[in-house]
Amino acid sequence: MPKPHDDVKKILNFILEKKGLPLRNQFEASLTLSGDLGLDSLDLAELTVRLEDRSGIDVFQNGIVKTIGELLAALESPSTP
Amino acid sequence: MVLFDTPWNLETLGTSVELRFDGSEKLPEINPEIWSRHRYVAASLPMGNLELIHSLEDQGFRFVETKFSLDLDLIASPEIPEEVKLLARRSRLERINSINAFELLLQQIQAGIFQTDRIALDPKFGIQTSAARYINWLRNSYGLESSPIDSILYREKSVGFIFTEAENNHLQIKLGGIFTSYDGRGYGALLIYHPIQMAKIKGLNRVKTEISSNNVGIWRLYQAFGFKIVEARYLLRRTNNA
Repeated sequence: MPKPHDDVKKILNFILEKKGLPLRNQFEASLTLSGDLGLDSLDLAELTVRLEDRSGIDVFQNGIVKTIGELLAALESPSTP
Repeated sequence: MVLFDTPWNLETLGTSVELRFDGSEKLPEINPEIWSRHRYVAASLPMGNLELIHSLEDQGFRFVETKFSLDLDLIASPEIPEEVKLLARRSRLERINSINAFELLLQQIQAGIFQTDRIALDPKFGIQTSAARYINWLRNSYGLESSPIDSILYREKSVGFIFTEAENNHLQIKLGGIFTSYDGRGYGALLIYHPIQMAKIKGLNRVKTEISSNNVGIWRLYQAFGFKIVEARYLLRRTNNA
């Protein structure tokens, strides 16, 4: 079963490729989605939907997620809605 | 120059008026009576006329924003971005037609959705005055069949709202926002997607709106849907507030 990190990596690289940006082998926990990765509103929409589809988890249910680390934490220990 | 009274500002900005210039005026002398009668005077002028803007600055006006009028031609069948289609499958509109739902919306606006609004950014006013102004506007419009207020539901949770009006052959997006607790998820696209669908259902040809230079992020989003800028105007204000 793929780990959350693999899913996140796959989705983010898919988005980066669409934007014509270089793919990454690794996404460090401290990277910010908007600032460091340059994701705009449409990219965040895609990330939201694809993560929901793959994990069934609303990673944003406990508030704003700004970094890769926060995203992985939300996927690894989702709270009950 | 044309002068418009703006009575909807009365409870928040005080008596107010808007002066609208067509650009042919060079150095207008504003009638001093305006200052004694109005606490907030806005001046709207076509972009690029620096002589006029400097003349207004000399008379105590301060720049607050450039306002862009946007237009989308639906007959040209613009493509909805793929990411938005995915998001939209989980979303729908629900008409706000109960006092309870309406008051919940006003609470969200009170919490400060419109942080880039010119009144919110103005050091003489701030976010609370800005929110009160929007709340007044919506209270005056609530229940009007011609300008509905709809809740945006995502997975059946209310995440924002749109306030629209059908005018002649187009739909005007008058106001819309995603609640602050749903920031950072890309839901902003739904503020544009749903009015486009609404206009198509009503058989309208165009969707129009106005955005501010203080909110560049939303322009990129409108651009992705195919909107074009059809007019740009500077907005300045002079206020008697201490």
